[in-house]
Amino acid sequence: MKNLLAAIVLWSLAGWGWADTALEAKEGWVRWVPPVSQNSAAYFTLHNHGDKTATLVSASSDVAAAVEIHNVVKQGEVMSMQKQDKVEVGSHKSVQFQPGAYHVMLIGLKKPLLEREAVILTLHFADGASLTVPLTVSKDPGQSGNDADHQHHHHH
Amino acid sequence: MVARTLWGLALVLLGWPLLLAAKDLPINTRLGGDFTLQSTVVDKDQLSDFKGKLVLLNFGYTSCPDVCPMVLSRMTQVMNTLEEDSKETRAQVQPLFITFDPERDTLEKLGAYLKHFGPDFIGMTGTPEQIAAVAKQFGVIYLPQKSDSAAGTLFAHSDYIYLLDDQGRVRALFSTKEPIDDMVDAVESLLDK
Repeated sequence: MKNLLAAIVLWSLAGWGWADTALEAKEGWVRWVPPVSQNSAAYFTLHNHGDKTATLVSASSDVAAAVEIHNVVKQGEVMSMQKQDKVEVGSHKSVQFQPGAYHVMLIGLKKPLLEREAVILTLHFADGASLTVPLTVSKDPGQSGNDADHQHHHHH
Repeated sequence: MVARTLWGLALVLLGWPLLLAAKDLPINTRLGGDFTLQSTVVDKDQLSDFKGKLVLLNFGYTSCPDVCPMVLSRMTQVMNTLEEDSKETRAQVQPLFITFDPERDTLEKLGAYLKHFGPDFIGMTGTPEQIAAVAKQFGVIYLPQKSDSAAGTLFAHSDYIYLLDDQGRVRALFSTKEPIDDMVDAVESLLDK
């Protein structure tokens, strides 16, 4: 009985340890949208430092009525939004959630987002692990793609 | 003869970037044309009402959670960069947004949405037929998607920003990859004349 208890404690510690160190989300932000807009999107980079593939299956947040994982797929000239049932992050790999690509859609915002407001998003994984991601509401931190390097216009 | 043709071709190919650098944005004769819709601003419901100004034109919808606010904020960045030059420079360019979701995007909603991207942003809507006609003029594709998303109808759509000259002619299309600086350069090249 004692051994079993110890085993359970060890197992749960190991479980927590895995959840804490294997998954990491960085550079999280939510796009500020005008108050009349009901929907926004959350972005971050999801790192998997573990030895197993991590499978993101859902996300939740108090700020929105519904939270969904979507991907934007470019088909010819058309950007098409596709709801995802899961996103796999390979061992020692990362996946970027960014404008025009994977993103977490916040649908039916309960109140208007304020610039620089902190928003908490929770990611849920197939193995039961979850990860809390702190996000900052921002108009456009990195902008799209490579524009960050081109913020300052040089006159000529 | 063949050699001469090749030489000519090489000149054309090599000359292309030089031509762009020489600020000669080609006139796109395939896309564009005047149109009349409903506008968030009185007496500004026709493209030709903006004659004398350049127009930055984009199509989208306000329920769009990802691509449209990104593209609109890129327009904001271009406008703000122009304003760094002077308020007059900014005033020579009209940012214009046409919704292809008239059911949800009323004029009131468009106005309330767009003012956050800039005080000079104008929104337009119309009947589904009118919008379809304008979209066709500019080669814009938008397809309502069947989806089980809680967001309701989402559109698959093209996302170019169109740069129109002071005659309303299409002079450039910018994708979401286009650096802001290059867009500003293109705008300024049409202002310099």
